[in-house]
Amino acid sequence: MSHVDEGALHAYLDGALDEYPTVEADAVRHHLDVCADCAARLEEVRLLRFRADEILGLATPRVAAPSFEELRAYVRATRPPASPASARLNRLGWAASVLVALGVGWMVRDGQLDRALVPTDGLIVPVQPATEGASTATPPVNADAAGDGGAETVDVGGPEVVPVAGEEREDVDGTDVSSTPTVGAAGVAADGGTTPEEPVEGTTVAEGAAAQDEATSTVVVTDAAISSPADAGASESGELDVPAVTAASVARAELPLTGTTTTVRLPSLDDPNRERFAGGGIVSSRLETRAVRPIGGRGGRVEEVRLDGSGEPSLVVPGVDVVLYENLGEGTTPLGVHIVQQLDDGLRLDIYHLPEGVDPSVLPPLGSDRNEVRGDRDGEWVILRAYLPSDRLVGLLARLNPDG
Amino acid sequence: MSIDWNDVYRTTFPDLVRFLHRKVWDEERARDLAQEAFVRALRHEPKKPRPWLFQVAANLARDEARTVLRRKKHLVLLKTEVERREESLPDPGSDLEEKERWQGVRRALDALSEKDREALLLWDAGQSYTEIAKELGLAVGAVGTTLARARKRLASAYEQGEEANVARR
Repeated sequence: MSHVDEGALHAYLDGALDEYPTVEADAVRHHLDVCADCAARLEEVRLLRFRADEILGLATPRVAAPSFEELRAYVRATRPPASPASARLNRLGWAASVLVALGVGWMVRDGQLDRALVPTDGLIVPVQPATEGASTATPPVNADAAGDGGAETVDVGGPEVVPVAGEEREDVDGTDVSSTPTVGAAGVAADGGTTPEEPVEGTTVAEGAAAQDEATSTVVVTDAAISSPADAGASESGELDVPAVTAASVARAELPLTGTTTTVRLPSLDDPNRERFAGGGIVSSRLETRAVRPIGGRGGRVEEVRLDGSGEPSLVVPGVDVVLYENLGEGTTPLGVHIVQQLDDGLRLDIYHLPEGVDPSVLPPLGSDRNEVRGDRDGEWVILRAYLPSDRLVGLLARLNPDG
Repeated sequence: MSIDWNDVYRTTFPDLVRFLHRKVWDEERARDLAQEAFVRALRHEPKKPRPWLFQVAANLARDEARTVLRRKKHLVLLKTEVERREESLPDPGSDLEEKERWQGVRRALDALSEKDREALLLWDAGQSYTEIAKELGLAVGAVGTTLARARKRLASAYEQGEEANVARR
């Protein structure tokens, strides 16, 4: 055997030779027993290893961990409620499965529902209920959205989503859920989600009041509400009546529920019977890890979707500026592609394309400030994340491969 | 086979904090992120907790770095000159020597390539070669070589930093 290479020397001292193939490991051990040069090198590596450990040890943190029981109790107390939505959808016979998971902080960005009541200048400013025609989106005062007790089940992006005023929506083929097994079946906005949605802050009152779109039913605080608290439905006792949130009201509210993941099963590209996605587009996104389209790395606007008849979809939303385009993963295993696009309203859209065999768990955590839609086709994933309602994200997903 | 999460927590939490600390350089924040990783693990219940935890922790640290960067930019716009000057004064209660040591280690780690640094931190946090290989997309046999390079560079960079400090004094 030739001399032991440096990596193997380190593995030997790290006790990692057992993770090598047995034959190789035995050969290394034997060689070190008989070769004086390698034995000397081993001692040099031993000193280097000791020095490196010593240096890292200079920055050792003090670790004071909560007890496991405390941690477990916290997890139980904040566990997202199981949603019966999937059972309902199964009964309706959807071909696509839409799984809704609630994350912490689903109503207001920082997870505090009772912040719908905002103290300002000594006044309690009520949250103005939504306008007629759309159920209220006002959250209950003391609701714990992520708690076990009393949490509402949220049906997001279902076929009953009410179009938002100011947007044009195409007729949704899949609104009759029981008979049309389309994917998603959420309404597809004609502008693909570029109409800005006011983020729900609910915690500050700007001078002149926060702007809002009447029909979006987003949380609004207006001067009128401040000046006439009676309009907000204050009871005779002076306490404010805050309407409760129901599943239907949330679905219609078009609030950008945060931390929500919606999973959509995409039809196989080989399926001749695949249904068109609601709105006329075929939803598909097949990852090409090797034939990645060069779109300039950073920047650039994709105006055309290249459809060459092979069913190759676009990796990006056409007509939207591309800010970043990068490969994921290192070494010999590509994990996929990450694209960032900037919607016209300035919102950031992250798109991840993961090939078969790569689980979405490799991605950074979603966080509590965005929603996510995952398109799954036979183990390949296309995942969209943005501060948009889930149905908007589903619409953007559809645009990755519009009807040519 | 069910997982004894209490045991996983006991054996992995300190390593996770150690790993995260070398990324965020803040003890408290490292502990918070380690807790967050465990909260997610207890919800997600991965079959292989330890590598899963380290992967989530790495992602959390990366997100943290981006947040800190955004926050710093924001704060720069907001702070007054007075506040900036006040912040630059050392906190009389802080352990200056400890902070200086951390700075030295941090500078040395920054001299490594990202992969080498990650391999070294994962090893230092108790991950096996197999786990490190999987995390970084390497062959198991390449982990030793990566660690060899990382340790050499770390030692060299740290010594250079110390020499520069001595020369300044």
